[in-house]
Order: sequence, then C-alpha cells, then structure tokens
Amino acid sequence: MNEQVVGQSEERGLLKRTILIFMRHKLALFGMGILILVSLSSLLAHQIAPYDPNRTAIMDRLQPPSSDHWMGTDELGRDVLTRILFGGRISLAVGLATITISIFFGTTLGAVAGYLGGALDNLLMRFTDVMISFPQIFVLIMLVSFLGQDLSTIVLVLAVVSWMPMARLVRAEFLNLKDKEFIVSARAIGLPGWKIIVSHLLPNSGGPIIVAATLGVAAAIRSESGLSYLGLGLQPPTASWGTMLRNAQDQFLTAPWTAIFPGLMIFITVISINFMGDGLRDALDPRSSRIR
Amino acid sequence: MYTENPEITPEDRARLERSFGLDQPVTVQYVKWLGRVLQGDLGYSLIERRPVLTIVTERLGNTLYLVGLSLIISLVISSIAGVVSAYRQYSLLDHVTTFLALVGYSLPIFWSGLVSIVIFAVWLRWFPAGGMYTLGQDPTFLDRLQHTVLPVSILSLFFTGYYSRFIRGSVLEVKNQDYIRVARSKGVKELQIFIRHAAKNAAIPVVTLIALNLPTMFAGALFTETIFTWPGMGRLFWQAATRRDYPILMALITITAALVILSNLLADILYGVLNPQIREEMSSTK
Repeated sequence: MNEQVVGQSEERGLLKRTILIFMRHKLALFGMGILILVSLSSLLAHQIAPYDPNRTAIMDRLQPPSSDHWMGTDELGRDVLTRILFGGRISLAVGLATITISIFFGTTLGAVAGYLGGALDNLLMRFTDVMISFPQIFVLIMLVSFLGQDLSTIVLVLAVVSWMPMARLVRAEFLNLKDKEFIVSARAIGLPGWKIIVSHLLPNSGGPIIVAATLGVAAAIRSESGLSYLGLGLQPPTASWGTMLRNAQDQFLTAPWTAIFPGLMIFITVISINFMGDGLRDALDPRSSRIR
Repeated sequence: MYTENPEITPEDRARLERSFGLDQPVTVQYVKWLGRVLQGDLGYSLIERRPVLTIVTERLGNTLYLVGLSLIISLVISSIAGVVSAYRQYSLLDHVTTFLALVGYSLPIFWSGLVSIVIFAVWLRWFPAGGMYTLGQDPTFLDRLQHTVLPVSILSLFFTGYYSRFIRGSVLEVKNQDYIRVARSKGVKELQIFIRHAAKNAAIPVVTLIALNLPTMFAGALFTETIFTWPGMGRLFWQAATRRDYPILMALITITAALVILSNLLADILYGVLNPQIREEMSSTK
C-alpha cells in the first residue's frame, strides 16, 4: 500500500517534470501551437471553409490570391484555401493511420524480439535490417505499382516502410529494462511473460515510443505527399496536399500560388511536428537533467 | 497496347502471350528473367522498345554527377557547421545552425525545388528551369553549369540538413571522451587535439553512415530529377513506374538491391579499416 502511494507521487512528479522541460523548449511549444492550429482548421473544415472544395468554376480558374480567394484558385477554378483545409484532413489522417499501424506492428515485433531474445531476436532483427536497407521511395513506388493506389493500400504501403525504427527502439528499451530489478522480481513472482511485457516493460518504454511516433507522423505525411506529387499516391479527386502539388505542376510557372500554398502547408506541418518531437525527446529522456 | 485493339482475335492474343512468355506462371517467368539477368540481358523497355541496359547506362552518369556533386558540397558545409556547432555548444551559433539544419531537412524537396524554380528561374531569370543543358545547342561548359546550380543546391540543402546534425552529434561525443580530456590536461592546444585525434575519430561513424546511405541518396535524387527534368536514373524509375514499364522497373530494383548490398559491405569494410579496435577483435577471434 505504501509502495502504491510512493509510486503514484513519483508518477505525478515525473509527468510534471516532463511537462516542465517541454515548456522550456520554445521551439517545441511553437511547433505544438502550429500543429494544433492546423489540426483544428482541418477538423473544422466543413464549418470554416468559404467554398466547396470540389466546386469548379472554369471562368475563375487560376486567379491569384484576392479578397474573394485568399489563396487564389486552381486550374479548375476551385478555391485553394478550401482545398488546403480539406486536403489537410486527408494528409493528417493518412499520417496518423500510417503511424498507428507502424506502432502496432513495430512495437509487437520489437517487444517479442527484445523479451524472448536468442535466435528469434536474431532472426527478427536481421529481417528488420533488410527492410531498413531499402530506400523508402523505391519500395513505395514498387509496391504502389503492383498493388494499386486506393487510400487503404497507400496507408498500408506507407506503414510497411515506417515500422522499422519503432521495432528497433522497443527492442533496445526492452533489452535495457530486462535486467532491472523490478522486472527480475516480476519474473521471480511468476508473472507470465505477456503480462510483464504489457504492464511493466511497455509503459516504461513509453518515452522513446512516443518520440518515434511523433517523428513518424511527420515522415508519413512527407512520404504520402511525395508519392501523391509523383502521381503514384492518392488519385484525384481526393485532395491531399500532395495531389494539389501534382495538379499545380503544369501551371506553377504561370500560377505559382497553386503550388506554393500546398507545399507550404506540408513544410509547416512537418517541421512543427519535428520541433515537437525534439522537445518531447528532451522532455521524456530520463537522463536529461538540464531544464533549459 | 495490343490488347486495346478491338480487332485482335483471341488466337492472336494467345500467340502474343506465348511469345512474350506471359502464359506461364509468375514464378516461372521470374526465374527465366533472373537467368537472363545473370547473363547480362536486362530485357527490353516496353515503352521505348530499346534494351533496358542501354537506357540505364545513358542515365546512370547523370545521376552520379548530380548526387556526387551535391554530396561533396553538402559534406563540406555540414562538416564545418557540425564541428563549429559542437565546439560552441548551446551558443547562439549552435542554435541557429541546428535550426537551419532542421529546416533544410524538413523542407520537402519537391516543394523547395518548385519554389526555387519560381524564384530563380521565373522571377529572377538567373538560372534555367530544368534539364541538363539547353536543347538545340551544343552544350558548353557554362551552359551545363547554369543548369546544374539549382538542382545541386536543392539536393545539397537536404543532405546538409541531414548530415550536419549527425556530424555535430558525433563530434560532441568524441570531444568529451576520456582520452581527449587527457590530451587537454597535458596542455595540448584544442586545435591540435582536434586535428590529430578528434576529427578522425568523429569521422568514423559519419563515413559509415554515408556508405550506408548511398542507396537512399539516389532516392532523394529521384524527386530532384523529376522536378528539374534531369535525365537521370531516379527520373527513369518514376517514368517507368507511371507507365508500368516493368522490365525497367525490375532492372532498376535489381540495381538498387545490388547497390544496397554493396554499400552495406562498403560500410562494414570501412568501419573495420578506420577503427583499429574492430580490426583487433577480428584478428583475435581467429
């Protein structure tokens, strides 16, 4: 009972410390702010968008930014700002979905490898190494060429190239924690393996997993945008920031706003997430004593 | 293409399929293809009707030129930036460089490329918008140089962002090591320490990383080549993928796989060569 109380106050202290360190990271806070702004505006796209994203108005095509269209119109007369807002929904959703699958698969693999060790660990890690060796883009393009380009396939394909860092991290953490007293005593009392993994090892590995997941979302958004830009990702009329860039390709020399704004959104989102990830990494690192 | 002709008879179709070997199971086709590759026959492009090998060798040099030049430039800049950052840790310079590195790394290449074309090729008219040289003219050195500046700059920006963070980390780790501290306490000047000890030791993981990253850098070139219509292997890969030109795709993936294996091997060898400790371990376990 006493242990529980001590454990709880330690936990609360840990959370407070994490938040404090994060708060000192100005860039991370800035990144988080931008991210919240972008997410909210995408979530509320239906409410705040001035136009219908698919409303074509050929008479108004390729208008530069004006008071009517804050970000101008694209080649079919659609309002760019509206499409940015709705495109954000797709891009962010794809990023989150991809990372969820990656976490699930990567963590499981890393946990099994780290906890069970031995030949299985070796086998799984070699497999991970092989998967990491391939340049992402090539794998993505190949898989898409053979498997098709609908939304769920794209998400799966993106997850296939994203899970490896997670697996490695989780395994490393598990190896680290396996010899700690509290784990050894858990095994001594006879707790079954899976319970040790789920209730003790995983929660204590949470830090690096969260950081990797955050950075992973940024990477996923980039990859999806890149694929869609190449025409090998989502297809029209699905509007993600990447497909908007692709459509802008033909006229960006005469109507640069059609390309600048979508790309800018990708850049801002990715860099905000990266800032946040850096801050989280410092905040969650148990060894960082420097509260700067 | 033949299948879109409505007048083609089923017998003709079957005959064509047999001549292409398409009526056999996929595994048999694959093994046959593999056999041909081992004999040096990479097949014919479905779109261009030319040997794949010819098409690839035409483009290979261009990619090597682009990636090689960008890599050299970015390594020079990141080394300077990384080392200076490490030795002035937590200073304003350090923060600014780290920030710039993060920006360079986070910028989507396809976007920074587009923006640079808009600014430097359309508005300022300093550089051309793409290609390796002006068509219809004999390529002069100046002309090629003009065409090279933008793509190389954009690609270098990305590489620099990536490597400077790593170099900074590596130098930081090395300069706080015990053996460096001993040299300092002996009174050796910091610059001397750096040149004789720190630099070489910090370089080892960096060199290994570069070797491991070789295949990925070709991938980075893919976006750059596509945006600037640079006739290289990356763009070829993209074209083949869009047009479903499978022989080229298969050949390029094979080349990439070979490149991955070779670069991993290179990284291992380099690490052994540069790090005498590994060499010791290797020879003592015999």
